[in-house]
Amino acid sequence: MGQKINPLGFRLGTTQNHHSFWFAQPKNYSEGLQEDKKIRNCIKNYIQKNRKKGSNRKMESDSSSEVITHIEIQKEIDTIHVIIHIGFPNLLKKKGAIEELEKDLQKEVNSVNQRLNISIEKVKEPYRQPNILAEYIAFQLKNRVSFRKAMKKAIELTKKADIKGIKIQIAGRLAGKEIARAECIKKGRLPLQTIRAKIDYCCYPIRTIYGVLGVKIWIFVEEE
Amino acid sequence: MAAAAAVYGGFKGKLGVEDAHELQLNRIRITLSSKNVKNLEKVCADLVKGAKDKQLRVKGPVRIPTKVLHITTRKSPCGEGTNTWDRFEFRIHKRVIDLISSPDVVKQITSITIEPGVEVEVTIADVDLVYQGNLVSANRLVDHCPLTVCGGAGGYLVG
Repeated sequence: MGQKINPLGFRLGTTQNHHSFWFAQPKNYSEGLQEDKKIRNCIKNYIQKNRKKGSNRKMESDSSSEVITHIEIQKEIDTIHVIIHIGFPNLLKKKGAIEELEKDLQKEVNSVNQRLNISIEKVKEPYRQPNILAEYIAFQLKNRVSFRKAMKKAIELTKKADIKGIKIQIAGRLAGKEIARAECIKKGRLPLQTIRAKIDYCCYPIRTIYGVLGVKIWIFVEEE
Repeated sequence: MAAAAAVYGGFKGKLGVEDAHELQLNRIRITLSSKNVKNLEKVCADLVKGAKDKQLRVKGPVRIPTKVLHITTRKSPCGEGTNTWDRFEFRIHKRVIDLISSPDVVKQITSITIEPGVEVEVTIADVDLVYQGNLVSANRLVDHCPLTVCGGAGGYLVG
């Protein structure tokens, strides 16, 4: 079998944009990168913390809780713009949430000159984003649903959204068996070699009692 | 500098202009660097336009050759397998704009245009050219008082 390159990296020049958009001279580049990493970790931890708090009160289905699609960071001279793209922004729409996030981030980043500017964007069609589908599958698998059913349910969700092709691959100890294997389900077409095709990709690890399952989702959105 | 001021002071009455106010004009060099050519060109065009609107003398965007940094990393997370390498490039584009104006005006111009992904550096040359009345070109000043002004920075002014 050949090795497939990550379709996001393959299309960076054309159909795909960078998530961190800033410039720094090579001397200072590593500091900027570390800042970026801290910001992203901080935001993810915050959402995980609050999700746990929420689930203590009621047993909501996790599929309706927020999933971050991606976090864009743009740095200018005196401000850092952080744009969080989220599927279902319930938690973060509460009043104090954004200010809490800002305070947390300020502590992490130790920014002297720079102000932080956090904004939240709701993703238009959440079931077109591979990240959200992956979380949905993760939730199903943790509830001991058979993995093939989980994959089929995920594909059904995408039927409502306009998608021209999708491929879901789960690898690892499926159903707890000793021998690991990889299973995949495809629908529609998926031209990975075509650079002008907009393909969204996500690789998501799921921790189960038997080990880690890797879920990879390719979604062919539209051809330019 | 004191000598220069004294010499210019002599010119005050002779020039006889209506608005005889002092303008401190410096040579200001704005260096823009970025990874992204589109945004860089946009910021350049905005700066030059802003400067021309205020009727300053602008030396247009000088395009310095792009530096291409090659970053070569092993593809593998472990040491196993054929030694395959990824070759990435980091392209740094640089533009230089020279202005002759007072520093406050420059602050106005640079505060307006801010685009993400472009780094702006402003350096103000130490030479103070003190004019009174209308704008006189730097070369002409050199003719008036070659000794005083060109003392430390003659080469710079003429160039």
